[in-house]
Amino acid sequence: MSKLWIRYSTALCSCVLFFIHHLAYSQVISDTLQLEEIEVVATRIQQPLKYQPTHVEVIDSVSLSMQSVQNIGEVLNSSSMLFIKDNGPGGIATASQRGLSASQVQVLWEGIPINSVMAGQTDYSLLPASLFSTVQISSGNPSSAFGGGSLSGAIYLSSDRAEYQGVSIGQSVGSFGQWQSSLNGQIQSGNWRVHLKSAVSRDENDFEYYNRAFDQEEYRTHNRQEQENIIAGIGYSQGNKQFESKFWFADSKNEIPGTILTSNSQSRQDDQSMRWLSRYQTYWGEAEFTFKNYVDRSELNYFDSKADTRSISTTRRWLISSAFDYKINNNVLLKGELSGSLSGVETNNYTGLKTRQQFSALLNPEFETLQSRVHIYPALRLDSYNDFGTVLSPTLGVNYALRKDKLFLRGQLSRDFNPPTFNALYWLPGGDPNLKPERSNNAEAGLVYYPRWLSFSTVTLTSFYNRVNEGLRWTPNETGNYVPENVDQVTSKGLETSLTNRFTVGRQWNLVLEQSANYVHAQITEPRFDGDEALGNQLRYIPKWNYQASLRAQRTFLSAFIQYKWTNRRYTTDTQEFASSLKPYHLLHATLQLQQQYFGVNFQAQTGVRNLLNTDYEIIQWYAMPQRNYHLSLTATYEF
Amino acid sequence: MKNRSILFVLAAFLLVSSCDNNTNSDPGQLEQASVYVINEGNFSQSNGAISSYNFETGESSVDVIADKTGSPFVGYIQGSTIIEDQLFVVTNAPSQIKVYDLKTLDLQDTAELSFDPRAISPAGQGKALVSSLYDSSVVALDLETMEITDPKIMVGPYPNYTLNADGKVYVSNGNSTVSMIDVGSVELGKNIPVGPGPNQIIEGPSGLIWVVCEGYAAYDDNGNRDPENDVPGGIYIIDPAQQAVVTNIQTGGRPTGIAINNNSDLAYVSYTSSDVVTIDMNTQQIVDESFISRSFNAIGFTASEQMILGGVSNGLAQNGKTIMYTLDGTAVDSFEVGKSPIEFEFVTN
Repeated sequence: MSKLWIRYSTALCSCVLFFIHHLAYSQVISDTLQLEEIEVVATRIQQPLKYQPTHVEVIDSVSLSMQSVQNIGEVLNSSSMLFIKDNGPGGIATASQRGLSASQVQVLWEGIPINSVMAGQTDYSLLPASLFSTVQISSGNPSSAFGGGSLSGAIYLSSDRAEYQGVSIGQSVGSFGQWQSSLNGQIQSGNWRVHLKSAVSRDENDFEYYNRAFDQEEYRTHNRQEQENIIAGIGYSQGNKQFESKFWFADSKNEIPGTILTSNSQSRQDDQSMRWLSRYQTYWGEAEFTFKNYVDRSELNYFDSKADTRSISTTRRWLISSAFDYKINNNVLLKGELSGSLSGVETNNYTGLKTRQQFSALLNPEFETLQSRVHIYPALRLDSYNDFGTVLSPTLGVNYALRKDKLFLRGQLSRDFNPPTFNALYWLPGGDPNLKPERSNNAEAGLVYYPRWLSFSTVTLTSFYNRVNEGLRWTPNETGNYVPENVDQVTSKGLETSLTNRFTVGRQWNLVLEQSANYVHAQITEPRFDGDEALGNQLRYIPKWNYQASLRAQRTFLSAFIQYKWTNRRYTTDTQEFASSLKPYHLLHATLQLQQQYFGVNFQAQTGVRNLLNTDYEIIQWYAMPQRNYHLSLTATYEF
Repeated sequence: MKNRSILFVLAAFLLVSSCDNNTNSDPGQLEQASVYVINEGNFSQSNGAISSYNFETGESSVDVIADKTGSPFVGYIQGSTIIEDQLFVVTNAPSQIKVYDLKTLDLQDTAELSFDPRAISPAGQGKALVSSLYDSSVVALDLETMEITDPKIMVGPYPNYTLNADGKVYVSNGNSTVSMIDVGSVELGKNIPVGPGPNQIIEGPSGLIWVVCEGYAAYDDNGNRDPENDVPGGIYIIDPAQQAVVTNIQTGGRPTGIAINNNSDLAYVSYTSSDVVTIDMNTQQIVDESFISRSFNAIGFTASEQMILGGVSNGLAQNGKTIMYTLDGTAVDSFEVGKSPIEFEFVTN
């Protein structure tokens, strides 16, 4: 480890020396850090953050660029209030939001739900952060916005084109054999635009960890991961007409090491997906129309030669939609959407091809009144499925400016749903085609305050209450097979607060200090069987408290990013047994970035230390997390 | 300045308010146990446990190892057996056989295995036979060195329970057979066809071998349940002399375990979702189809107390319990055990 430290220190010093004599000629490459200007897309409400009815977290392009060698799971874990159930480098990472499960968080790519229809969730370890320009987390996103699957909100991934015309190549290396290359570019000619983002990684993930079961240091084995991702797009715009088509290819090959208690794992998983989204936007009179066509094909293949298991699955999906916006007057914006989709899954775990047809209609107007002090957002969505019937999802959101541009009171009520997954319906044996969708009643209320503390600040306070009915639970039946049932009744309530300060020091340093904390109490509220002792206890793996802070400092050619996160104790049993709980942990990450231009080429060198405190911790029981580790990257960008 | 102070106070409050002052309990003294309850635990959490209960004092412990050492038992328990004055516990994740002193439950030895063991039975001459879950075999373990010694004995797929009786070790297999291994030569004698899902094996009167078969739940081509083609669970009785099944007691349901009284004339059979059935072991006829109106994960009989013990599972995320019944099926007491109790091991003085 000490030799590794010397190696990275030398590389860092070299980078600093490389840039330092050019200080006088340095140029500002990154832009300013004004979050409020970001367009909110995660809620489907076309208003700035301050007028939204719910809390929205934004991870902007600057933050993402400082974490570009991470995956989205790692970014969300250190930059949002989400709790990421991360099985460690090379392992699956899923999300828990407001105490609910991964299948109750909707993941959207450019507004298209991309959760697997088989398992109902997304593995964030398969999504490199470098592919995306912004990430928005809307914890209170209702089903009326983008359809079912969002009982605890949504995560919106955007992969907008680059802000420059040119080409960029990058290479990064990191501890335990991590290696990533990237190639990005964009060219515009007349009305046409072509852009590309790609990332290739080869990670050994053979990190050292402390095995508390055997009281010894060990190395992770059978943990290699290979990933390739490409997002390519072409766009055309003329007047008020725009056309864009994006293609996303992803391929991942993972060895699965299992827990630190297993030493002979032979399992592996291959994931491959192709997603193609086309969008055409035009105006007919005063009305704006947007048409989307989306197709995807995903393969998920799992092999375990030891247990003689071979699971082969192919998912196909086709979605079309037509949305309109029509501004009737300054106070009323009429919006809506019609959409339809067809999904199909072929796998050796079901009998034959299983399909789902869905038709949806949405009406979500926006109203302004009282000199724009009050914004009202009613919405009603109808989703009709061929396999489990029709669901209505109403929502009412309100934002009221108690003091204009200073203090806002906001809130939302919604009734949401989560369709049963294909696995729950058709898994052999055990799947039940008669399952009902999970339903929930959600309420959120909060305040946003923009005081003039330290130049400019944002304070938010949000309370929420979710009650899930007909929650799915897999239990053994009379034949001994696990079968899903609509039995869980879960209540999740809590408080979230955040504080953001943006200020300048010495006229040259731009600083952004962000802090957030959240409290969640998620519990089973109805007994699921005689003697159920889970009632009233915190759900397994859900921390009651989280606190995080980050400081981003930028001065001409130099940027620094420090992130801190504290996660409370998590219980692995229904009865909150202390002996088998996972201890709280502190994590500290630091990243330093230098930028410089030579011969018309912008060079960006970045080095980072993750887990600076060298904390031994587990997020999921018996899955090792790496101790202090490092990365170094160099990116060259040539602008045409 | 005032505003900055507010920021720091907020941060400090968040940190301090979220501190966790819980501490683990101190290890305690182990009461002399009358029975150990072997709890499987959750595979993904390896939180199996050995629970204990003393019939005289009523003292119990959900996790004896945690109480003794301050650290919980680690492992997904597959089975256990008593060999002389030691308790052998078979675990996956990690793949081990842990050897405890039967009275004190002090850990005496551990065999680290390169395969996933399922069950262990004594085989004489300082050896035990261990079934290997995924490679259709049984291997010999030297109890002195805790090393695997002899070549593999190939049996049926997914070997399950093992039992040593009269110089033979019987192994129930996933392909509806029971393998009979000669302890002296450590060689496979014969694979005897039984019912689907053979699991627990006990030795009955006259040296007959009783095999609990869980049965088979049928599904049609569309994945729907097809009860007409189910094969009900039952007790298959093997005559070692004939090396064949001589009787099949069709009990129905999905039996999970069997216990016999000290006279070896009455068997208690438990089920996943139906009542305890009693069988006259001499006539091999069902006596009572609802002796105890409750389903159990495991069942045992204590000769010293003349009581039937039923292990109740509350799933894999919360502790179960053991209910004690008198010989007429009346519940008289209960105690908390670990997650998913699967076996009882009785301590005799």
